[in-house]
Amino acid sequence: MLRAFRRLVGTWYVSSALTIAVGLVVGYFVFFNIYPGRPEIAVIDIPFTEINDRSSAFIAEMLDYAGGRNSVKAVVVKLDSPGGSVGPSDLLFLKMVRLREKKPVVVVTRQIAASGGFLMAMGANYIYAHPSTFVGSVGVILFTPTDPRPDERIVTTGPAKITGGSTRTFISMAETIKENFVSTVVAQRGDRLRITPQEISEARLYLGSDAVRAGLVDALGTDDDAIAMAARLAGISNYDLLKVNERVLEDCIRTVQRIIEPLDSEQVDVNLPGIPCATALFPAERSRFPRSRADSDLLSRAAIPEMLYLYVTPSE
Amino acid sequence: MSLLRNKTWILALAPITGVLFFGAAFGFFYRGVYEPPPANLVAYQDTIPQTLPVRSHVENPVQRNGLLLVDNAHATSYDENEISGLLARVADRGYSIEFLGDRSLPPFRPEERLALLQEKLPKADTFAVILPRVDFKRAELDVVNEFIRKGGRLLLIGDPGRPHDINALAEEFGILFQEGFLYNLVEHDLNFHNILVRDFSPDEVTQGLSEVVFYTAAGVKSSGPKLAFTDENTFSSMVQQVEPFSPIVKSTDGQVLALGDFSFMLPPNSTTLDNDRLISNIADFLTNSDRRFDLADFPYLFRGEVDILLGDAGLFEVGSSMKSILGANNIASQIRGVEDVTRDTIFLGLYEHSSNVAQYLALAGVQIDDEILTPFTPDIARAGTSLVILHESQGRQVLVALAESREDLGDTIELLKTGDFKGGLLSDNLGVFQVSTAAPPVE
Repeated sequence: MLRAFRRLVGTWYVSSALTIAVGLVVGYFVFFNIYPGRPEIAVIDIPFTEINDRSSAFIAEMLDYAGGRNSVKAVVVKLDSPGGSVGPSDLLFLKMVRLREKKPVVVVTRQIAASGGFLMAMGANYIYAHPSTFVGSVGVILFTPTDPRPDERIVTTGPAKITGGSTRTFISMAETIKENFVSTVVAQRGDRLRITPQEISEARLYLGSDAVRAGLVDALGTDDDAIAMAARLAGISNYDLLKVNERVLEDCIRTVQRIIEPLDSEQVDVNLPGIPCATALFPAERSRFPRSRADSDLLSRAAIPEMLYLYVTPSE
Repeated sequence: MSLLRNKTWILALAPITGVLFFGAAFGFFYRGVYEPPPANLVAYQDTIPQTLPVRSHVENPVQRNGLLLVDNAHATSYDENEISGLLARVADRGYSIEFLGDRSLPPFRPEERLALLQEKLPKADTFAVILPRVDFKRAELDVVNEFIRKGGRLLLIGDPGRPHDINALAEEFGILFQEGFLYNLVEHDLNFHNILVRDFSPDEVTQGLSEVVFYTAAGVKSSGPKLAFTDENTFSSMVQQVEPFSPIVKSTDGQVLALGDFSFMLPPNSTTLDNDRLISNIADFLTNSDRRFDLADFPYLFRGEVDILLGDAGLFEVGSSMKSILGANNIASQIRGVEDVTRDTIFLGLYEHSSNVAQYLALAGVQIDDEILTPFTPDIARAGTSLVILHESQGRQVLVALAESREDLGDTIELLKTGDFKGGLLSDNLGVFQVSTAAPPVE
């Protein structure tokens, strides 16, 4: 029996077939497990979100996840945001630009991509909007601290120590940030832009269809269009879709469980500072760290300037 | 055949197959190579907002006497310390300043505001109404109109950044504060609200100005002269118009000055470019009033110390009454025996003393014989009536009050005190009053 097998293997056609099979297995293994792998398009879903320190940390984590996974060859961001704080919005824009340097990023806006949300979209290779999406609002809202009267009980070592500067200083800062925002839009949109910097700085909202005409977005389209464009820019076909939100949350849950399980329930800080995704798991809870004025007696007594890339309609 | 016999070639099939598979799979999944676009990040550190020079206006103002009344009765949208810069300039010119109403009190009712205006405006030379949130009612408008008719000057200031309701008053003088705010996206002071104005028409208010900055201003329309004009890059958030906007205008008669911005007066805005000079010019406007006072303005028509002259010593009691009325209104007076033609004077006497004031009677066109003859009425009986004349010359006021008897003269003083004499005025400066039941004053 063994001799018959040896004889069979010894024939050139059988040994050839076996060698080809080995070649196929090795080729398969290398292609799918080492390089380059079956391509994936990462889909990051950002439902209506104000961009603040918490939401931006979670979004940044999703962008990092998509950027760090080799099989992900392109990223689609489904964006719905009126903007938010200046710092987190700038951070997300830069994250998008860095991600774009590695793999194409396509944004598809939903209800609104305004102000800080629009700035984030500027980091993408291509932007789709729905015809009725609100887009634009390139500008800054500034809440200045009031100039406090000198107080003998509070000793400061400089005239601007409490306020950071005069109202005029803050207006100047807001103008600088606005100029940078406008310049960023001009630089990122380049030849595609059809309106002047002055028109951009009007901070208007545009309907998606108007935004295409103005060159603020590239085309009207849906999620499917965005995925197809991402595939085209990445040069891939027959790809899989990867829902990044689910993956990041799954990883997060595993991480949180690993930290929480050895502890008594009373020891657990559900916000787990330093693990941004935990804030997504427990959004209603407030951090034990003084992240906002309301959290800190010290901060609540101070005047903190606040700048926002945000589209808002003041209520009475 | 030798190749077939030598089976080592079969080993080469494995890498060939592997490469072929890899290539086929690559071709199946990958159709191209991603070429990232340039980052095109902006050099943020190169963005430096333009800052405008600070200029202080050094002045040597002309001293004048007068009173600026500042409205505080119409729920105004400013703190008194916010206009201290302007008020200091007005005070530097010798004017005194009074406020109409008290901000620390509860809001005034319409009748209270009217009473305040009727009490205070007659003694003012100029009136400033800044950001009133309550509009002026018809009766109040009539008081202000009368003030303007007598040469008073009025400053109106609105600001789209603060709530106000000023147009009811402004429209009385052909002025309209436009809706919305002016902005300039091309050239501004730190913010698009903060517009530069460089085009001025010649006027005392625009004298010496080359460029000013308004901080959230409204356009103001006027049937009178427009004093400042915005450039072609300045637009309104609400109003579309072809011609430039005017943040500074005057009424047709030049007695009302309207500004569409308040915040340019606030530090540090007040010293940017020529803003300080503009504030100084506004102070000049306010202290250059040609206010004319007439009988209806008694006792405020007297601005300095007053001499009281009596027809005879028997009228001393009447003179004392007049002195106390003046004193109650912070007007110093003294009873003298001889007229000083350089000082304001009140002459109190009987008809029989009319020769002492013959020149003033003649200037008023009045003759006193058996009856009183005036240019305006048929002859009037002397009994039961009194005659009051105001003569103004070169800033000097002379009030003459004559009656048939000492009692009638006393009653006349009481009439002047109560202010109820306006029904007997035959003209701005001549009145004949019924002071007893003996006879009707005017037929």
